[in-house]
Amino acid sequence: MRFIIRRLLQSLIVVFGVSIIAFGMLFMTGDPTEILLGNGADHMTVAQIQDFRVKMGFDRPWYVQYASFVGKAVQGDFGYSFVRHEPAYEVIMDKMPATIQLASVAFVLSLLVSIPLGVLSAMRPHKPIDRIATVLALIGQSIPSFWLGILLILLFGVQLKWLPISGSGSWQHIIMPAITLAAFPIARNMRLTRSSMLDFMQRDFVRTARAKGISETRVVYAHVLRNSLLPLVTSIGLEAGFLLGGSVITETIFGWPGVGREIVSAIGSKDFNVVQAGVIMLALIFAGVNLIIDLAYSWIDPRIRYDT
Amino acid sequence: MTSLDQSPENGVAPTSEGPAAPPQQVVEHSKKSQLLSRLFRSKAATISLIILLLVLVAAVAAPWLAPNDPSAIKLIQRLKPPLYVNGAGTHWLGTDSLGRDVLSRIIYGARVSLTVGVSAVAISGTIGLLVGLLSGYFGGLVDDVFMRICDIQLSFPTIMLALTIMAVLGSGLDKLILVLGLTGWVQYGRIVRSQVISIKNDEFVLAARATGERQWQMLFQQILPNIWSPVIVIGSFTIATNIVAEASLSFLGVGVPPNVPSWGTMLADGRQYIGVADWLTIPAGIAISLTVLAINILGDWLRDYLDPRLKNIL
Repeated sequence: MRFIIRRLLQSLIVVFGVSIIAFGMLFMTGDPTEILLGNGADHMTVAQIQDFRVKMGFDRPWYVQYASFVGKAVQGDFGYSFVRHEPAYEVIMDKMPATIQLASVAFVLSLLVSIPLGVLSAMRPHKPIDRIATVLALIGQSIPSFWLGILLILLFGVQLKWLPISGSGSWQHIIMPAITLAAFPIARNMRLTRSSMLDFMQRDFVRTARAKGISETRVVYAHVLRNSLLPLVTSIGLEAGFLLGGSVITETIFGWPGVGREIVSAIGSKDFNVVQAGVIMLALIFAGVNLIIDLAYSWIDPRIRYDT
Repeated sequence: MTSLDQSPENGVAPTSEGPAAPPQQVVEHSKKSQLLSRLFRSKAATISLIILLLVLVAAVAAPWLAPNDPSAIKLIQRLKPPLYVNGAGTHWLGTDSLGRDVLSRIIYGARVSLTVGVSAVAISGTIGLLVGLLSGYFGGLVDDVFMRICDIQLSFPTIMLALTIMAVLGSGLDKLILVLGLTGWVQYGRIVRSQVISIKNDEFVLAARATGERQWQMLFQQILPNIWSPVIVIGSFTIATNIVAEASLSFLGVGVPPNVPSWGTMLADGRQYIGVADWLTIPAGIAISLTVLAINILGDWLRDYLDPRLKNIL
């Protein structure tokens, strides 16, 4: 119980920090009016600029503005999108299902590929299959996602014409974005599964299981793999952040209509209310996923609860 | 420096000890030659080192190596295919949509990548090292505050945080370095903190404390020399991460200004001509991937050389 309360408090602090960052982004250069008006301020009189400042509430002390920002944000009010002329929150929430869909497919794909590859690698260390998988993992961790996306478009979209190169609407549309987004987690989880399994294979309980004459398959799957997957659960929490952050680039490359592409587009048009709403909503989802995973982890592995 | 300072933190057996030990210079020389001979025994690490040296040479000697001015716009020369496509022309890797020489831009792009990669690591490494040292050594409130800052920063995907800040500050090489430096220190801080906690009660630290050394002496003369290995290893990996981050942010239009030749901006420009001029994207993509792959392979090697136990945490 103490662990749960402590973890909930941590999440609250994180949410507070995220709100500070999202609120503070407009104050980074000193004057938020200047940021929002941009070059448009060159064509305005001083009085007009001052009117805008008062209208937006930027003439008030920063802590009053922050309190007002938080008060509205908890009600889902992030102001209006200057470009779309609708509430920024709605702009983001309209795009959220597409982002969650892409991240979920990439997540499942990463687990389906990485765990079997990691197991295969660990069962035959330093053999050809292990070397190939290790090299692929190293490449997967090194190749930038936008470059992988472009390569996939060139090969499967432009040359072979097997898959649509952008947009959404059919299952074919999600294949290339999901592979692009999953490439890094596949590589990382594969390496993690491999090293974790190799580590557990040396443990006494595995040696005992083997000495008792249990079949190798049972030793690997029932004893080694089950224990080796524990570190992967922690990694999954971080993966949520990677998938949500990575969606910014992947969605932009493939024209996937999600939150990431909306944020990039809003940055281009200086529609900062949408940027704030998008960043906060993604960070909240990330914090929520991490909280659930930590609680689940403490349930799976009780040592966590006692160590904290 | 006492002999305790030189406890074998790197897992490499000392070459000699005792009164018959050779002078310091000879020991250093033998360490270097041992490092190089171990490095050259690994084919992958050797090839990676060669690739990185080539990138470094390209970055340093760009004005002499580049066949053309990377920013010279010649619209009449736009989208000329490279020599490997039609075997004719004067541009080895072709020209882009504004008639600029792709090879020259690739060579100059190495400058941007390495500058951002190394400079941002210097900033994040320094901050992370200091914060991790203080947090791990003093614990208590300092540690609590540090851990909460870590939680907050980790709840924000780094690329998203950097993108948000760059969106407000506007593009620019200096801003990019600063943003990547300020958003990347948490990883160092956490590892340094855990290393400090693991050794701060070791006998050599307690012995130094008993001799009346001051706090800063304990931190910088006793503890710091024994936690360099993970810092160096993270540093090498983070250079690669920063290069990808620079290219990603430039690709999204908020990294370096569009007129600065960077591998990321080249890919962003090339994406618009993906079906008609793949030479705008392929060389830049290969340059980034090879550089990052080489750094990662060398980082892996360095980790195994300095301290194989780090495999479990890095």
